[in-house]
Amino acid sequence: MVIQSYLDVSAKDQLSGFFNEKISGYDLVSESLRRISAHDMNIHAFLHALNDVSQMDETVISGTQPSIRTPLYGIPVAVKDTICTSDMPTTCGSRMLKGYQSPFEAEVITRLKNAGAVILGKTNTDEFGMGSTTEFSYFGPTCNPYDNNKVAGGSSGGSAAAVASGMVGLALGSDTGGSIRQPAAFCGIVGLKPTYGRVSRRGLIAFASSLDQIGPMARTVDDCRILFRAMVGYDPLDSTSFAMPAIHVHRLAELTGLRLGIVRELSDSDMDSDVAMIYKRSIDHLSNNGAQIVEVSLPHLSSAIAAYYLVACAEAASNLSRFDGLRFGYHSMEGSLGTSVSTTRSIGFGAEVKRRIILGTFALSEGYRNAYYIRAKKIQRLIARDFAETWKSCDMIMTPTTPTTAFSLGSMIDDPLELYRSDRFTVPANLAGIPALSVPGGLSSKGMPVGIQFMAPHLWEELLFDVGKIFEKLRGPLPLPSGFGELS
Amino acid sequence: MDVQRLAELASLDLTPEEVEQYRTQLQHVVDYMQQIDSVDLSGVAMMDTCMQEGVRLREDIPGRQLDREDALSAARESHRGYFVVPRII
Repeated sequence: MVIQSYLDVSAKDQLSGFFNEKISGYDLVSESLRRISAHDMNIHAFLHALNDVSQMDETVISGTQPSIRTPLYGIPVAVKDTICTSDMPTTCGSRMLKGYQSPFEAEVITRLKNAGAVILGKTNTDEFGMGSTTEFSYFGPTCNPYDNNKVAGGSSGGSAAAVASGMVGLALGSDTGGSIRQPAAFCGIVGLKPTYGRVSRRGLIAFASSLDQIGPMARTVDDCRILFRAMVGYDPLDSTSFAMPAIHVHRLAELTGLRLGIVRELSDSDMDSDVAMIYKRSIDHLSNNGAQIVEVSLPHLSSAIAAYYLVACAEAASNLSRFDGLRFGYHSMEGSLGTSVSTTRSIGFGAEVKRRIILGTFALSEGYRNAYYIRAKKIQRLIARDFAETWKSCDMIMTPTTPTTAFSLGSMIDDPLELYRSDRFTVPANLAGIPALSVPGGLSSKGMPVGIQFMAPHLWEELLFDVGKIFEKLRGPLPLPSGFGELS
Repeated sequence: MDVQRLAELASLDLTPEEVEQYRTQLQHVVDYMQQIDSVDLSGVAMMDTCMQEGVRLREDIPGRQLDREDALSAARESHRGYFVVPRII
């Protein structure tokens, strides 16, 4: 038996391995930890990991047989460090929460553990989820496994890099404006932003509460689906959690009859030439195999970035007001209460977080609230209506996930506006609350991954997975990054 | 954009260099956002929620609580069940 190969097969095949007693959870976790120890100094995907296998749950070590109630039995999962765990620190990539131990774990963590998963470690993130490169982490950036001189994307860059490099097969990220899909695209893996409300946010440290969603990241669409099904569902302690049942479509085996929307407002000038080429090739894959291509319009697409950043930063300014050093986190308590709080926040937060808090405060401030925040919320409604209109003529919409491939490290860090504009294909789905899946479309002429995004109506994640799986097959195998899975 | 005033509102104590840097960067961002002025918003209400069914409330019945010791566990200083903070008055 080759243990190494079992970490590299799909979660479906790993589960089969458990049932056939070919491997145990101990084997998989040992292999993951060995790879992290050997590989992560170059990638920096993890902020914290299990020290050794003895920290695993007893029932998995003892080899208790998996059952239908434990669909993730023995499978290691990495968790973005904005999601609370009670037995590992939760830092949000920030000095403000360095060493912070949450007194409770997030609802999704409880669900994954109940499904038999092993929480392997916490992954690097842009500070409080604010960023698109993971360079804004207080603990240093995460590198792209395809090219260590390029970013892994963000803010779930650590999770994306951990999966792409073979250190782990499944990971959790969170997505407010593209923070699962963009790093998935940059690192050549699959990532889903669920319908808003499908996955409990309890225990996700909030960035923008009306937009945030936790979602799965994996190397294949099937694995993404397995992880998603283990975490989805109503939570009575999250008032924004969905109580409606999921829509399970009749499993789509072929594309005939599928109406695929291509957005009229997107042009080649909106993306670089490699992305345009792979995007067009991807459309051809699907149309040559039965999908009907339909032109649709999203007339307010060009306002999406402005609306998103005004809404998200306004909510962030409010959410991050809890970080005052008085009850948890970094503190610098000298002088009066007011001085202590200001000093704590100025030292505890990094530059990008401070910029967004100021922008959000501006958008909500007297004299500006009507012109900025309220107008942004109205544009958000128009964008949601635009999508609702498109579903009358198409079943899903397809775009590139990002306008470019991964940036070079350090190239965007001083230009906030350009970095914000790079999210222009992902933020519309967050504003509308609809599900969106990024699947690798291929490698660019320079060997960097390009992601293709599929968006669907509320609750239609299963349709996204079905079409994504067909697309994966039509695309063919994606070359893995060099050094994938190797011990050194 | 009065970055100094906004920082005070947000309880941030910025250096003069930070004020200047953020003013330049954020003015650039705000200039880009002016495009929302030209969008026709006649008769459009603010988006209240992305949720299809709206926010669902539960019955006001106490359930699982966070233990007080757990809630105090990360505090800089606590005293007989209270958080200790710098003098206010």
